[in-house]
Amino acid sequence: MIRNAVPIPPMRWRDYVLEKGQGLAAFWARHLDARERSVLVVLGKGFDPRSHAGLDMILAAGGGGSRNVLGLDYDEGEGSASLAYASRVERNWEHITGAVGDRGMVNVHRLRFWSGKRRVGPLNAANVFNAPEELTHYDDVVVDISAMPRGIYFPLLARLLFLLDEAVPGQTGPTNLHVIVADDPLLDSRIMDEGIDETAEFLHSFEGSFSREATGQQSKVWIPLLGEGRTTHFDRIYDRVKPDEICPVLPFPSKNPRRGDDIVQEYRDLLFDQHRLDPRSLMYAAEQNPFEVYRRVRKAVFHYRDTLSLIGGCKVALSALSSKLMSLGTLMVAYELKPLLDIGLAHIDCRGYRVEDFESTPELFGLWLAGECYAV
Amino acid sequence: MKPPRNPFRLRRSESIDSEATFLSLFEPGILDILPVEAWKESVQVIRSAAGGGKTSLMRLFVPGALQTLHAMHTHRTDEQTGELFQKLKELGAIDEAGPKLLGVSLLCGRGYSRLEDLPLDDARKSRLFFGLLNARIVLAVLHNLAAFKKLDFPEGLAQVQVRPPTVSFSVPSLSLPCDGLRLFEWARDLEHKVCSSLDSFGPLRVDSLPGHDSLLSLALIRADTLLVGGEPLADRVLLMMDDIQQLTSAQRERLIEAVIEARSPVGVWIAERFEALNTNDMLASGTNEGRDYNEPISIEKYWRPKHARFEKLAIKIADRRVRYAADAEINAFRACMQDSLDVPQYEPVFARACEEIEARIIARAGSSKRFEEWIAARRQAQGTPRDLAVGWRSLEVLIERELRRPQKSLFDDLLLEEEELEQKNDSSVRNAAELFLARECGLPYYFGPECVARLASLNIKQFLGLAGDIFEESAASELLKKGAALSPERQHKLMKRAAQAVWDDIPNGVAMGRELRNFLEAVGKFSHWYTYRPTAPNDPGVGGTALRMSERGLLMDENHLRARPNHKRFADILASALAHNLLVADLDYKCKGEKWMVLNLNRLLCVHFDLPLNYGLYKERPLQQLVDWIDRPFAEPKTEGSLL
Repeated sequence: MIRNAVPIPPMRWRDYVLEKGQGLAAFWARHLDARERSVLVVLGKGFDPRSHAGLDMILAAGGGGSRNVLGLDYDEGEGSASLAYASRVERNWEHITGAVGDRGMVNVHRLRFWSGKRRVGPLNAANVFNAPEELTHYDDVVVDISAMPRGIYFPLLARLLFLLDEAVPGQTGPTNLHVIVADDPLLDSRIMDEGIDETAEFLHSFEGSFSREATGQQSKVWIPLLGEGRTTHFDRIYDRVKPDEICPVLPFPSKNPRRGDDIVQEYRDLLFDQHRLDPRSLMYAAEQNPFEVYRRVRKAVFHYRDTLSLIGGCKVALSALSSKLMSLGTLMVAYELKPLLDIGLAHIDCRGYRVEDFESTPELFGLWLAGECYAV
Repeated sequence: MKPPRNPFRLRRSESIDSEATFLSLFEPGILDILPVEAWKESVQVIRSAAGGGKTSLMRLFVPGALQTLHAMHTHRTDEQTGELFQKLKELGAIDEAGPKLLGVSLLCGRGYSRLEDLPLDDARKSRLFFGLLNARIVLAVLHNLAAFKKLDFPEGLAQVQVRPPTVSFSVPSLSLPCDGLRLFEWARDLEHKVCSSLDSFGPLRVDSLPGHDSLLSLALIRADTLLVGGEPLADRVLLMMDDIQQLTSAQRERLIEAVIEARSPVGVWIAERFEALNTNDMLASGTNEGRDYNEPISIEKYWRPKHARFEKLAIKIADRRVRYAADAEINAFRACMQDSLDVPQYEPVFARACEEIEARIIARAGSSKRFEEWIAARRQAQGTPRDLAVGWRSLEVLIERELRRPQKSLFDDLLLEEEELEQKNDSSVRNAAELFLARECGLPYYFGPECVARLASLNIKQFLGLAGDIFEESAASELLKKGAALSPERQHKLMKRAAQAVWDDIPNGVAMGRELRNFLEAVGKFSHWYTYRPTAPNDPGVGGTALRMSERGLLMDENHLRARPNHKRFADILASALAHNLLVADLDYKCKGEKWMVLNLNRLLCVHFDLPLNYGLYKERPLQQLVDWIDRPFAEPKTEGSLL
């Protein structure tokens, strides 16, 4: 409750850098041309045809300096449906190693998803990097999340932000943190989750006070970003959060202007019949601008905090059932506000994916999350 | 808040806002699962699949619910809660003076499993686990105590005295006796220290985290150690620990062991989904338990032999929901559906069926004089068109049986008498005939309130989903002045649609779901083929399969499973099917001089395969065939009997 009394702090990402398509390629060409830069690209060693689109673009942008790659090699366990696509994983990886050539080193980090029956992927993803020194000798760290599950890139990015925030200023120049995502809603809709976990959990380092009995009487607000084909996820995350209020976010503006309506139709039974949602609680945020999502959700969080402070405060859970691009907005809110508020990221994973058709025409988006541009 | 349009959609108890509404919707018959004597002062494990009703049961005993029930009873505000009050009074939870026990509900699934991933030895992990659990138990009790005694939280806890249960009892960092506020601060700080370390953005620093060696909180929360105004706070304390399946198996074992060892006067419920059980326990279905504590209550297992009673209760639950609905004039669940095909609409269908079946019978057996009396009896029969059609179809089955009898006797050519027909034409044959007719004539089969209740497969959440679909359309129909009662066809379509949705969701929502669905598909198709054989063996039909208990033993034998990985995979898939209530097992079923593990399909899956809804009829298969079904779908044999 005392935590809830803090005034609203300035927005960390009020001014931001977001580029897409040709603009993104031009941005990287300019950025790498300015001086010699050593770049580390962290990407998923996955079946997704988009997994190397970001790396290809950076390599094509030219410039001097090393171009190292760290591939996260997913050990999803024997039962994973994704094992059927092992040949695609290898093909993508061959492309990556071939593309880097002698521009830098290519390393692989084995990421175990399970320890017995426990999911430890998020914890292991956070532990890929453990000290600022692992990052600060690079000028740019780029995380391409196109072939990473949410349960991996959320804790990974949070750890990277934390380590870069913790890095002793002045010892080296600021290391930039970029995120690249190859957005293709059509392909996303064709990648079906198989074997969704029985229970949702809060992601590593994003549990907030949700499990705490001491604040168990506080109201719980849940802000899920809704997306297609995720009603089972919604249902199971609801069971974990057990919210008193739900404030769903719909993608609007969106390429398909009816997309938000279609999503409401899909979730109708859950939202209005089971949970008796007041339609005035629906929020909208731009489908292709995670910083807009960040602003909207952040504003809503403070709104709930102020309103519910009269009855003892609240806890806020965020969940991303939407595109990866939008989901980054929730990560930014949760990362920024965690030291100030009771906020968590509730999430549910699955045991692999089934893809009907790999045809993809992605559009690359790039976000600059930390570093030089924010140091002014 | 305004009552909902469709109250069946409130499938979770936590979706029901007020205690008064929750109590009005709670069907007291559900309390029958509790053993009358031993439920308050001992350790009681309660298990079910998701949606079995554990959380609703526990909500009933928390202070808010009991106080509201007492107020409703005193002021006679709701006639529907009278029976509930009486039942709880018999159980000793309440009386005319008010609640007599302090019920404390604690969600135990939250964040404990990550303790197992810390870089610590087992002893330190155990200390951390008990430390965190002790803190949360104390905090949950203090929360509920404040509600029970109507104290401000946490300030009002200063009025609570906490005394040590024995002179030698001690708690790290807490001196006793103390007041409730001090106890709250101790527990809050302990929880904060552990949780904030675990939830850090940076690498974990766990060396200095506090912990406890045992479940000492059970000694602190006894009714005689917590005093308000010098008096014990209640007759007894009941700690209800929910979601235990989310603990790791090591934590779960530690917890159950510690609770038993504590021999506390505090009643402890340990509620978990079947998923908590490992493959072995799941296949054993809890038979190796029950020595150190009350026999575990397995909700579905409890109702299985009493399924007719469950189905009556389900309809009562539905009646309560119907009455709670906003804007609907319907006053009973039965009013939402027609439950008979004896209406003019179907008469031509049955008449045509009679003609067609008679023609088939004449073609098949008309040349033989043996069946003359039987056929004549059917021609002279009186009754509704449906009765006549069922009569003809059952005759066709019986004639087929006679014609296919493998060993001809000396008297096989003798005329069969009408009396014999009536003896053979029992209700099972007639039920099979009804099923065959439905399929052959495109008639609805899954309709009527009893059918919907049966399709719940003994699971309340499943029932509310199905009944909700019926009510949704019924209310809409009534609003459009078309009458509330849905036609059998519409009900049948809704049930088929619900079955399809469950079927489609299996790969998505269940671990190893695709393999599991392959297996279920083979079971379903095999049952379908067997059921619809012309002689209708095992009439009215089978709804599952079975394997020998000795073969089930192999699935629990580690050495065997190590040597046969495909059997291990099958055991895991089978356990997953049982945990999710997709299959319902009956152990030690005696038949043909052997003991069997019968695997009944969830009744809703029977709808998917057009199977009858009776329990217990099966056709056994060898273990290896069941194992093969995961990868090789069942194919109908080319010749009759080649599989059997």
